Amino acid sequence: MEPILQVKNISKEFPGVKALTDVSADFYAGEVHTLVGENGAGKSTLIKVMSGVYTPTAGTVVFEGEDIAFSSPGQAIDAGIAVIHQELSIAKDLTVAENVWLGREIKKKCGLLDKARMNKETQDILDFMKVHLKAVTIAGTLNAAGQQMIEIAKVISQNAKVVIMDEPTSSLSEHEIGALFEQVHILKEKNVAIIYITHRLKELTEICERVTVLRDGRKVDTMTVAAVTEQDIVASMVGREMGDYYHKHQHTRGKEMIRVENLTRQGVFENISFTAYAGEILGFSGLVGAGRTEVMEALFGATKLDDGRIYLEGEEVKFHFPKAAIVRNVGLVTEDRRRTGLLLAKNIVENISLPSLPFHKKKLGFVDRKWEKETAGKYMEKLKVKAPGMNTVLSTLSGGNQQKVILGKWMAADSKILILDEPTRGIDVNARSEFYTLMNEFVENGGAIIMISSEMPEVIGVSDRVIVMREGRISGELTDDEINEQRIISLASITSDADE
Amino acid sequence: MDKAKIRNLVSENIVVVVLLLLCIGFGIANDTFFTSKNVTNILSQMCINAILATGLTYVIILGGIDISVGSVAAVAGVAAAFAGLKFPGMGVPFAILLLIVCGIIVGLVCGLVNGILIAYFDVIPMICTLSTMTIWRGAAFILTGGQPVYGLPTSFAYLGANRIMATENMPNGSVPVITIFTIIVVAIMHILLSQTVFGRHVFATGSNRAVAHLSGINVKRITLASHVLCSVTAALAGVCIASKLQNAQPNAGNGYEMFAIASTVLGGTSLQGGSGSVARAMFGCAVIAVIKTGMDLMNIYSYWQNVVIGVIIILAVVLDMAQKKQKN
Repeated sequence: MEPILQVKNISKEFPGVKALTDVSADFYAGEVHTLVGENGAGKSTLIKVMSGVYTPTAGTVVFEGEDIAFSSPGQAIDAGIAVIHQELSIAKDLTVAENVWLGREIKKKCGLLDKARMNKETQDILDFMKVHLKAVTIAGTLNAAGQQMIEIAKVISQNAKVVIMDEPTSSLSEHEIGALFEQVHILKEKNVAIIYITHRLKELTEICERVTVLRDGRKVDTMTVAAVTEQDIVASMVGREMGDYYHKHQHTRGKEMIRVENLTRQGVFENISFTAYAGEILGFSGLVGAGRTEVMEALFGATKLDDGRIYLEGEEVKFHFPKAAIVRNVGLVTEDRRRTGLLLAKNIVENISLPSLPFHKKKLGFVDRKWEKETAGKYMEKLKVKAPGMNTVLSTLSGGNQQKVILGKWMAADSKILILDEPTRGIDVNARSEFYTLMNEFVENGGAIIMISSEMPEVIGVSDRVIVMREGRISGELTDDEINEQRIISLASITSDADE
Repeated sequence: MDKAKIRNLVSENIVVVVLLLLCIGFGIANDTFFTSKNVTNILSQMCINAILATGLTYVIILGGIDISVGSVAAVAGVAAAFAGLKFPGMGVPFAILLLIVCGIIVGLVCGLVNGILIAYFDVIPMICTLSTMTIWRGAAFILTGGQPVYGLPTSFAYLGANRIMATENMPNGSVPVITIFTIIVVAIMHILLSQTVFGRHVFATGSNRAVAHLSGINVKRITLASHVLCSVTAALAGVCIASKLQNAQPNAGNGYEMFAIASTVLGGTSLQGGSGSVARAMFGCAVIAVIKTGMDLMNIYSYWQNVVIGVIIILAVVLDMAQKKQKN
């Protein structure tokens, strides 16, 4: 069988950077072919070459046997190559059907929109996908998983022959990932070629046939998934043996750092009680939407608490604003670093010092620039932030380095309790490994970490204890060898016998 | 310096380049442009706009806007004039104190109204300040009955109209008092913004509100404070106008908001917020003052100035957007 899409000796250069060098790969209809590689390996660039966003500096793209040169993404879509980006491009105020037909609206003979027909065609597709969505629902009311279904419906309605999915599972829970994989199977049955990008190697065995590993802009290898292990793939990506990259250490539990009792927010979470200790990483697992982020935001003082008490080292405190929590050495690393974690337009110094400025003021309220620079330098070195200098603007750093700057920000604020919300989302294997080492060091120095994570291997591999939330309540707490996938999933899942 | 560095320097300081070009252009077209009299004239004309622009910079960095500054200036002038009439025999130091105190009080009140509505009631800045602009303008006309407030003592005019440091060429003084006042205001506002923790918080809030909030910054309070500062500087500009004319007009400052915003934008403050500088806004003020004075000297019908300045603002913003796209 001939491949439907081929890239032959593709190179792509930008001023000063060689993003791709001599990359070749074949993609077949009805097959899921995954691209893996560290951040910066060239996956996004390759996708953009295939989908018409970039023109290659050298090499050819062959689609259905013919050399093609797309000069715009629109041409690629017309030809049958569709991309579902990691950042979903959904118009929140439009309906599902309006989103699906955006740019290709069906018109009546008189030129006006044929809404009835668009709604029907969309509903037919949604029924074919076996998802319980209505074509007339406003897109903004759906969660990330629902919006992703809209993107899939779009590519089906476009009769795409090649569908590229860029990290589609990064904001989904285990349950929703299952639903996504069903759609992937449906697409496979329609003989669509699927090019899949992910950082989650676990997913490879579940849905894909072959995997291509990119490193530093070059293709390292194309492997058949059934024939290799996860370790082999990781070794290819990184170029060395990774070993246990979660760095699971035995931690000794220290004193009680923070205890919460009966935290409640009407309609969001209820009766949340738990304790975090020094020297311990407490994992928080559960489905997306279980309320974990909301609990932590309320704990930190960023949002309101309707009821409940917080005790820091035995003393009751109230956090009406984040500043109150920061003063008591609590730090919050948010879920979405680009939107709520960093000042992207500012440099490393300004980002690291931000919460600490009021505590290092000079007379008359002047900023202590000397302290700022020294602190930025100190943490850049300690956390091994890779950047041209401390005046580098954050938007130019990779995800992993950005996350390190955020960590540095809280360490500069003398945080003793760190709340991490999906700390390694969108970060490559190498950077993740470094991050886990930093987390271990933090707790071994007497700090406490509360880590929200939707990634099972991470929760199991990193946490000393795991609390599982379900629909706004705590459904269970696991320690030591109770921490396994089955127990976590059963505690997290919303099943018919879960309401006891 | 290599080519890339020079290019960078130019693009970061385009307003200075434009200013130099304009000066050279007008200087060539008109031989009275570079006389000390004209230069002093330009500096004096700049002052009102400069004071307005200092406070406006804060609000724009925050990502908001304030178009009520012209009306606030009018009300402040009227208030100062009414107060001044009560002290017909006042001396110069008292008069200056009276002007400044009136400015601060009026500015505080107007700024609190804007700030509370915008920060605590989530009214969109454009809509809020459009409304207060109309309200304060109405108030100025109501309070004065539509007539200018005159009959003020000469001490009232010292701040706005007098000059000091007499020289041979200029026996009446070479440095306008108002220029000294402006320099003080600009210096304070610039240092507050660029060197203090408060200023840093303004930048952070304008850059990303959510991040600022999560970093312990009270974003509502910062917003309120910025709008108060903006209105206070507008009021100070207003009392300066009244002082200069030795009377208060209810339609004073009409349209001044556009020139103030233009100066700020020309000076490199992005309308999207997060970056800017008071000092650079002064270059923007200089550009506008040079254009106005230059075109006056060439006897061009004054409303052409509006057209020219409007076009320059558009070009400045388009350039700013293009540069930002390139950076990304």
